[in-house]
Amino acid sequence: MFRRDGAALLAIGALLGLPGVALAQEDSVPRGTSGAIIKPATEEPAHKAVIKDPVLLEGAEPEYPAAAQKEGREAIVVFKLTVDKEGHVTNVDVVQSGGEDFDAAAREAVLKFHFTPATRDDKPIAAKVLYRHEFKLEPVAAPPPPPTTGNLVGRLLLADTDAPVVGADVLLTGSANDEHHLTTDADGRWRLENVPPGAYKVHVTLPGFDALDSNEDVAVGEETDVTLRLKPVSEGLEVVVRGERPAREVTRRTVERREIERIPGTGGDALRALQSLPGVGKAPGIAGLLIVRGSSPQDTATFVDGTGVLIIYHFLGLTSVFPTELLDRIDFYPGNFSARYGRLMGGVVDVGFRSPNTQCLDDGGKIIPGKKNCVHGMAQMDFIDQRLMVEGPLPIEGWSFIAAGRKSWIDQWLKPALKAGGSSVTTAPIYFDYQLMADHKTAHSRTSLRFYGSDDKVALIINDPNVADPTIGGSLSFGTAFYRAQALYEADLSSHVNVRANLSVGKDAISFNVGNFRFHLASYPIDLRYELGYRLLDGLKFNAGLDYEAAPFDVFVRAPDPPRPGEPDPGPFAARPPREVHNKGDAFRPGWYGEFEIEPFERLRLVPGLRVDYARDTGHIDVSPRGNARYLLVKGYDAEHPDRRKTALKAGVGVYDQPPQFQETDTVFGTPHLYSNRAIHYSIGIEQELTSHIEASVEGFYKDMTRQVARAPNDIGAYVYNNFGTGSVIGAETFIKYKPDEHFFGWIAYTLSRSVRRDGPGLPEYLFQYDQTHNLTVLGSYRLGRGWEFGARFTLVSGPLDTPSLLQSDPGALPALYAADAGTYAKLDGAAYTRRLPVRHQLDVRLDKRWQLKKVKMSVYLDIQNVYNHAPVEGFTYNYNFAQTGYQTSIPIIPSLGFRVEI
Amino acid sequence: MRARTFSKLGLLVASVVAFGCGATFDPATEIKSLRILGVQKDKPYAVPGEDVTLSLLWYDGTQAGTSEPPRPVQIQWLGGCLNPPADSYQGCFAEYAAALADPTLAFASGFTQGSGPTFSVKLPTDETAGPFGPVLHPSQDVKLKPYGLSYVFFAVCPGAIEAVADKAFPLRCRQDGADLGPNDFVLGYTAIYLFGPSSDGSAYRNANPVIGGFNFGQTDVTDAACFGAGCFGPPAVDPATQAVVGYVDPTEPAHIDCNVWPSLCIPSCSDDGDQLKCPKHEISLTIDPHTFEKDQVTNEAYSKDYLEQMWIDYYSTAGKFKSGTKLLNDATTGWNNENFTEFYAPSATGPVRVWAVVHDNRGGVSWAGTTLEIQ
Repeated sequence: MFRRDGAALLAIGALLGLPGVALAQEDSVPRGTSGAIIKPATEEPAHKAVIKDPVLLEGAEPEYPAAAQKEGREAIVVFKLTVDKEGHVTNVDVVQSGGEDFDAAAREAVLKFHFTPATRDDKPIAAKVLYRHEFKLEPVAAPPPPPTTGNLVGRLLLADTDAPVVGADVLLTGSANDEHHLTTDADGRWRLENVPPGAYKVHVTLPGFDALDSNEDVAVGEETDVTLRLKPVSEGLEVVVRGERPAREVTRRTVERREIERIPGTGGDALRALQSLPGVGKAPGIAGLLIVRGSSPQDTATFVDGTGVLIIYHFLGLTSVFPTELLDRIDFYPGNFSARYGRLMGGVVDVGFRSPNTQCLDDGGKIIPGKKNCVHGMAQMDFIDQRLMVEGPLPIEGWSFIAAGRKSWIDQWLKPALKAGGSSVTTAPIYFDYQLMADHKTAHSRTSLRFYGSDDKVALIINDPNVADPTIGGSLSFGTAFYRAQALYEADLSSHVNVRANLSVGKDAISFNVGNFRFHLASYPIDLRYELGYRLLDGLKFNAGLDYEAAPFDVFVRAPDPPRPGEPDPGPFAARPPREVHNKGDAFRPGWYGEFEIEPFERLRLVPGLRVDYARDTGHIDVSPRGNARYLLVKGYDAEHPDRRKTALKAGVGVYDQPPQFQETDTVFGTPHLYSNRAIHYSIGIEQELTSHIEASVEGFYKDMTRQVARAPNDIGAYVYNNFGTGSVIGAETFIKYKPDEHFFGWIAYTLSRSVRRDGPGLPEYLFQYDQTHNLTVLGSYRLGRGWEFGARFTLVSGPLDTPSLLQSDPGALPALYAADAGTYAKLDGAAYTRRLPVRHQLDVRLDKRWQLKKVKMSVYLDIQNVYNHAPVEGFTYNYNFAQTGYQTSIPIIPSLGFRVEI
Repeated sequence: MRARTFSKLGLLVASVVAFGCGATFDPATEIKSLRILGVQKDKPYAVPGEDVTLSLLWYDGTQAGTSEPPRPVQIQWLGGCLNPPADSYQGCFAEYAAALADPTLAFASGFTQGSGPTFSVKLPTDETAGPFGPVLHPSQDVKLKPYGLSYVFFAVCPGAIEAVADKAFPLRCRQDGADLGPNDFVLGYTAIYLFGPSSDGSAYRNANPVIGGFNFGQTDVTDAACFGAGCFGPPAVDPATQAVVGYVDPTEPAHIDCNVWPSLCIPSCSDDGDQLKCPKHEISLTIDPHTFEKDQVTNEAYSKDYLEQMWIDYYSTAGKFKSGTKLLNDATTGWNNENFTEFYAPSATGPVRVWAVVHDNRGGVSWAGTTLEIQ
């Protein structure tokens, strides 16, 4: 409450300690609150004697009189002290009184003083000393106003060692676009005090490391402490490593950029990397199908920032339709996904386009902090295709762009091969894709305008028709194309409200023609998604959204009715007359959903939701309640608990409805007014951090499938569709992952599952076509140094299922009948999917070499699939009358050599 | 040579890219066992109540190149399966099993059996079908004309054909107390489509392809060829009873007079038909490009001019073809002039039978054959 007048005491001590200083006259006591003058008690000697002044050895601070303090009185007292030959104060004369209580307090104090005695010619003598003390009240601090700000502090560590990172640039951008530039200190810490509450974007840069972004909330009167871990720079353009945020799904698997570019056997293709994740089955051959948790490929959909797309892979799954370089993230939900996704009962893949990179590099290829107006380019070429990408700023403030394109050149070598094989090639196999994007991004919003698409086509005339089915010959053409114009807006409108809107229009086209049969579809999908998130309370957020799909379409089909899995082989196409349908219409499937994010306490997160979908083509409404829960049994490590490892429990249950396929409700090929297929997803699992780099998870899942569209003869013998099918999938996924550091990344993924179907009550249950009991993937990639990196991936998967001929299940039976109208044989099937083909295993390796020449990065990679040339068995092949059988194997070995330049 | 090497490499690349690799079997074109090569209906599209005659071309290659005499085979026909469930031929199995077990049971159009290389079946009318009618039922696609579908099954067996209850199809072929397998017992089916009158009152028809001639080595050898029933072998007759005990195919065809037909006499090739090493011999049929027809039924339904898809299957008792199936007419692009194929001689000398069977995608079939002399 008050300030001790130490200055006075120090002044005394100082003066008393100065030998040979002439003593001041008694009346020359200085004014003010500090300082003292010592005057010897004796007269100056006649001779030049040597006098030494007393020196204060022990002092005491006078107590401020309580009454005076209470009354707010202040005073100055000046005493003349007599110090004897022993250095004790023996007498106190008041020179200037401060009042009785002040004098008494001061007297009590000075009587406790002890000095070294003054000397004359080294003999102790008594002396007088002036003492001055000012009693002064400390100004009483006003009560602090209620806080209106908070603090945002953090610490930056190296991802692999947790060592503090010094000298990194930290850019904090507030909701008012206010920017604060900080630098991490020797302990890796940074601190921003007294900032307005709200959402802040943290952007950390340090040359040689990946930039780091994190979104943090600052609350009034609180200090938000965030620990971030920095990783050495990845190859490619700017990499955004998203901080872990609580998902609305039970399981979300996010593949990071460095991983997807380096997984062996994928050719650096992001979406093909998905097939190495747990829960994803191996697709037959090299087809790029996604078989998720025992579901049919058509039960899983791919979205680009919420917009569904027609295909995700070009021909034969060679590469995906979106270049890896354009992707910011791939979120994969194998089941129990959020209510924001609907009309699906398998899984969801949602990829996000990244924002253009405009950061500038120095001559060493390092990012120049704060300088963001540079253009980048990339070119890549391999055996399959070539691609280009340019990105940079636009002349409109805050806007930037990406333009990218890819074109295959397999036609250059496949066309002669097909011609040599007896075909007249009209259009050689060719594909291309393109992406154009303009982007505006602030700390709290993003506006993105995109136009992207893909086109695959091939046309040839097969003069040597298929021996087994001669109608598979003649003119053959195949084409798929789509484009989308997409507008995306997402923003944090305040610390409580966020919005995400997405509108896209485009075209899908599928064209297939073989001989007498054809399929042409042109549709113009319009997708509208809008989601509003509102934080009602701390720990309670509500998300509501709409998800509309509309698609004017024009479809033409001329084909025989295809058999469904498990149905008898109807014989060669040549022996069956085609049906034809030409329909025009407008498909309309609106959906609405609401979802709470509830955190009743810090470690528990509940996400109950409800989705309602309507399909005008079937006339039915689907109501799908869903709920997910996550409980943090043990929190993850932080600065105070560096050895603590996170343990999380998670579970979910939800209803997932999927409308029937087009042909299933068509009046010509199907049965109108079918209900949606329904699956109830159950899952429960645990996630465990083992070290700062290794995490493991185990998750069990079960799908109870009802109302499945099946087919059976009706009263007059015609096949009609119904909703009597049922099925189930049960399984477990294990995932052990070593997160990327500057040297290594890798994981072990193992899935055990069983998928069965039943086509109606009383009918036998059978293993589903895509059932895969065991699925193991082990992969890793290691940076050897000097720009070299080596990776390998090993997969071991149960063989696919096959339907044997009757001969194989009954040695006395005929395997096939001669179908005279086709001139070939029709297989007589045994029980459907009762024969398992041999286990498939494969080792893929990849070797990368990178160079950095100032601002230019170059890399060459060799990616070899199936390096030890184990031919995976995909099915059985038969001789003309099905009497002999052998294995049908997939491509034994696929090498790919690629070259890439980035500027 | 380089072109051929590239050709083979191209074939390999194309097939590997498209389908991967599979086991290698003897080509379907080479007749090494009992085979049916074609079944022709005189009316692939018929009208209810009509008689339809079917004839069957077979060949038993089991004993080719041996001193064994040709095996007389039994040829069995089963008719009368009308409009089976889902139009599937397999929907006839249960009906046939019941009919064979008790021929007195009511059957859709009257259970019909026959033997020999030809067979006639009388198609039902609504009156004769009785409770199993109507003969014509509407298509799921209402634009298409109502139609009926009658399946005829046939079996070729060098032993005895017996009814059996525990097989998928209720027939088996037994010899010496054992069931014969797929290389010695061929069971097949063909479909006859029935339609009512067209919009102009005429019947919907589909004519069988018309073969005008046979060419080998770019020489017209029509006069040395057989066509249709002319390619059948004689019935096997028991010398004692003069009863027909079966049918034999011309497994030992008369040798070609190389002075008359020098183009049909070609040298053997020690590499046994290897495409890369043996000389090629072009083989083709003479077919009037106007033999293809428009698909009247679907054209009326959809107001489009669809053409037939047509192709040729080539067979031989020895030697190899470059391609065993050739496109003749494409529904979209039309006639294919490159419908010929190339034949590569075997290493063994002697007569070799060759056939060319023409199909259209509406059940029309025609064939021709000849004999080569491998010297």
